[in-house]
Amino acid sequence: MEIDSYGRIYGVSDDAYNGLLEELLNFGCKVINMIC
Amino acid sequence: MNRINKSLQLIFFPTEECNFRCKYCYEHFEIGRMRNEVINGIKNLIKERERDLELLNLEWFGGEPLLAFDIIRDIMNFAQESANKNGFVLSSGMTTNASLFTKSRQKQLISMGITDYQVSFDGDLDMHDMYRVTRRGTQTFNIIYNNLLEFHSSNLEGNIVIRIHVNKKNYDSLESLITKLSRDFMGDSRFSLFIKSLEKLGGPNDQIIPIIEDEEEIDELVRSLGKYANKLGLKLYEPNKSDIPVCYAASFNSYTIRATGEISKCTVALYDTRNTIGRLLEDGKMVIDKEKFAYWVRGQFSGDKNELSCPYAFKQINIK
Repeated sequence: MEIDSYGRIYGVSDDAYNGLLEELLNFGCKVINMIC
Repeated sequence: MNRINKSLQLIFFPTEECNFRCKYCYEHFEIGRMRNEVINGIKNLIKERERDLELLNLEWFGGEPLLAFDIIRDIMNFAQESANKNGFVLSSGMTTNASLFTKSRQKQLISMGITDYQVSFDGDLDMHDMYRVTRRGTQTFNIIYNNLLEFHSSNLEGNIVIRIHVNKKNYDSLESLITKLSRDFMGDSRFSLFIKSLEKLGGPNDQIIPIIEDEEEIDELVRSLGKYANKLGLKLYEPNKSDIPVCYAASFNSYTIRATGEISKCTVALYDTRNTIGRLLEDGKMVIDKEKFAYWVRGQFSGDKNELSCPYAFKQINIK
């Protein structure tokens, strides 16, 4: 896994557990901090 | 371009000051407003990433974010222009105590694209005001509730998750609150209810706040209150549609930007140096400690459900 100077991630699978952002893409916006 | 880099979540602390002093809060309020060089850094970071993005999600946290409304407006305007120019989706939400979420602010915030809000109660007026007081020690329930009623009477297009905290002593008060919410908000699909147990998150009063320790008891109380809310016609918020709840802190493409420019992963472990994974520079570059970053996203490689749901392990949840 590599991270560039602007926070882009390289060398990881596209099947990452993308959590919230996956939900955002699929279901619309969600507010944060639902687990804690 | 790796798909993961087409979406980016930035969680901002536009100020770390708060006008509330909730009894269970874990924050220290020692850092004030976000510095100008950090605001410039955020804009330059968005500028650098804008061409490759399909989704930019900006979340406003704090401190009480609405104490720094001007900073929010500045960054949202910049992000909106970038989204319009580059064609990515901009979504935005806010966790607020809602004391400053007045009618005029609501209109301004929605128009700048902040559409989703999370607002908490700790019971009906009696119990809530025992736990949630202003910095001066005054009551907060009516201020928050009246602002939510203002939103209800508007036709603004946004969503409000009302988060209610269950503790050892407030069950009856929460039933009373749910009855009140049903009377005032039933049928308004913009509102939903999220019932959650109060947690020990590292605050100075952790030893005296009435946390329920037993997981089964929590499940039972949450279920029972949810059933009561459903019976009264309130919509419940379901936080995780996926099989595995994944915290933003465990996601590759989520960064928390503190008012100082420090970069973190978690919005709770604010005073643990493991959570300070780097710094945002004024030119938008992020100096990130890869080893620290790797700790937070380790669940992505192990597939461990606890590491994905809470990499800081505040709570080892039982995921079936």
